[in-house]
Amino acid sequence: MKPILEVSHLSKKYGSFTAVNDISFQLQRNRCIALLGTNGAGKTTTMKMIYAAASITRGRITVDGFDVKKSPSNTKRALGIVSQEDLLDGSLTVYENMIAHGLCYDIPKRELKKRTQNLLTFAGLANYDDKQISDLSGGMRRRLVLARALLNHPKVIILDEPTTGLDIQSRHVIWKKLDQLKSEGVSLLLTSHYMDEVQRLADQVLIIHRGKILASGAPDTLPAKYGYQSLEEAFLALTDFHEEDDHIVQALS
Amino acid sequence: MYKLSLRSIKHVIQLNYMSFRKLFKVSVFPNLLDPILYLIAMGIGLANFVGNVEGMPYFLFVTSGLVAATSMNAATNEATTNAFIQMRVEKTYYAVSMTPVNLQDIIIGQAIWAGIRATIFGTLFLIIAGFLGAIHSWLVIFVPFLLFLNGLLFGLLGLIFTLLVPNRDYLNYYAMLVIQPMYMFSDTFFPVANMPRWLQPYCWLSPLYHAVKVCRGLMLGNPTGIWFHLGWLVVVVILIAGLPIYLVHRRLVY
Ligand SMILES: Nc1ncnc2c1ncn2[C@@H]1O[C@H](COP(=O)(O)OP(=O)(O)O)[C@@H](O)[C@H]1O
Ligand SMILES: [Mg+2]
Repeated sequence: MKPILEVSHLSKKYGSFTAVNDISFQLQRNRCIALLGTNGAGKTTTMKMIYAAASITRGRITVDGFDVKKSPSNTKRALGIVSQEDLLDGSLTVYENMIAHGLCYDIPKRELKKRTQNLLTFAGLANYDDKQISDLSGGMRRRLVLARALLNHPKVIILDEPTTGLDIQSRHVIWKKLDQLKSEGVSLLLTSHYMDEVQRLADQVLIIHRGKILASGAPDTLPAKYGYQSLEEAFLALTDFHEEDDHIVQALS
Repeated sequence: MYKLSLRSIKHVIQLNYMSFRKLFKVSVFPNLLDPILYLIAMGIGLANFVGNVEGMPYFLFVTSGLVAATSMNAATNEATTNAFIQMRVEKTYYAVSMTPVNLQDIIIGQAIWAGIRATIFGTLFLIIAGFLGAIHSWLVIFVPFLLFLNGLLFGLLGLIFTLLVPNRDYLNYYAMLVIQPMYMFSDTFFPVANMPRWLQPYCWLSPLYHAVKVCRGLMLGNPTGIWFHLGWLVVVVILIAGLPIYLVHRRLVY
């Protein structure tokens, strides 16, 4: 089957600095890929290129059969985005933030209101619809951003550290929802710092370091494939090894 | 290049309207207070010492200038302070651009919204001025169109500036060094013809000067020559409309 998201030979340069270096992967329907990497590895930049918030230096991305460079409106229509920053409109209430977002997808008013009610209930924010954004806790904002990302019934959901800073209850609520969406045929692209989250949600893990994919595989089989006991050990070893490598190179030059 | 979508632009205007509706009550007073104060100080107070200017009572001269200036200020506030907050502080531009709406639609939508805002506040002030006897022709019904055109122009101009500035403080420079001089020297409070010779060509460069001429012609029922000034405004809008589209991609997409 044709992948719903296809990233091929993707690179990103900021001036002379290479943030993403020749990354390729394919995301199939109702699958979840997790990008695992230290801060600054290039995860957010990769995601931003996918949702057309960063320009593509080299390579090609297609979403739902459309090319991101050529028809961004079509690719974005298939995406639901939980960005690393919350990006909520402080001049609007919780409810209005949802409506404002849904309008941009041409969702009919009636349907939009219905979806908003349902999603706010799922996010545990049904009683907060009249609240200002500034009245919400960090966890509530995060859940609101997730609810907002589901308004357009996306085919692919992009989640940039969706549960960072959340309490364990909220994380479980979100995981359950993501499981359910996956079973309904939605695909997920996730970044996370939590091994348990990756283990729980991902079918495939890509370990990214300095813009390059160093290892990939299922969370259960990846460690053994590279000769490690656990995902965490593999992750630390793979990323550390290259740090030391660079020190040696620097010392020699 | 960057294709515009009418549908997306419509959505952006709707979003701006949603925020505006909530803040209308708090924003109407400051937006109208400024021209009302000038109207009292100049149009009523100073008028006693001035008599006729260019063949009309000074009160009418000033009021018609203030109607156009009100639209300039309303559009400028929208395109500078409000737009800056949406671009850089709350970053709602990024949130909207995650949907099928693209950045070029957002920026053009906001310029058009600045025009709408200019029409709303300019017309409100026009109505107040009407009660004080400043309307002398049925042609006044065309004034809102002029206010929109002028607002669109200052919306585009303000957005270009807002996209270029490195931080919020620079917006004050725009207000002080660009907008304030135009406010003073665009046939608003006294005829440009009475200004020093060397300054007059600069006044001609002020969009507000042309807007004032049109506004005055319509309010007083003396429309001769307004086509030239209208044409000037339309040409400038067409000339600069592409610039914010180019800049929004240069400045907000990394
Ligand atoms: N707008 C930008 N300009 C210059 N460098 C950037 C920009 N955004 C990110 N970077 C750099 O690119 C690298 C990757 O960043 P990012 O994708 O945010 O990493 P991650 O999400 O994996 O933590 C970092 O070194 C970061 O400093
Ligand atoms: Mg990141």
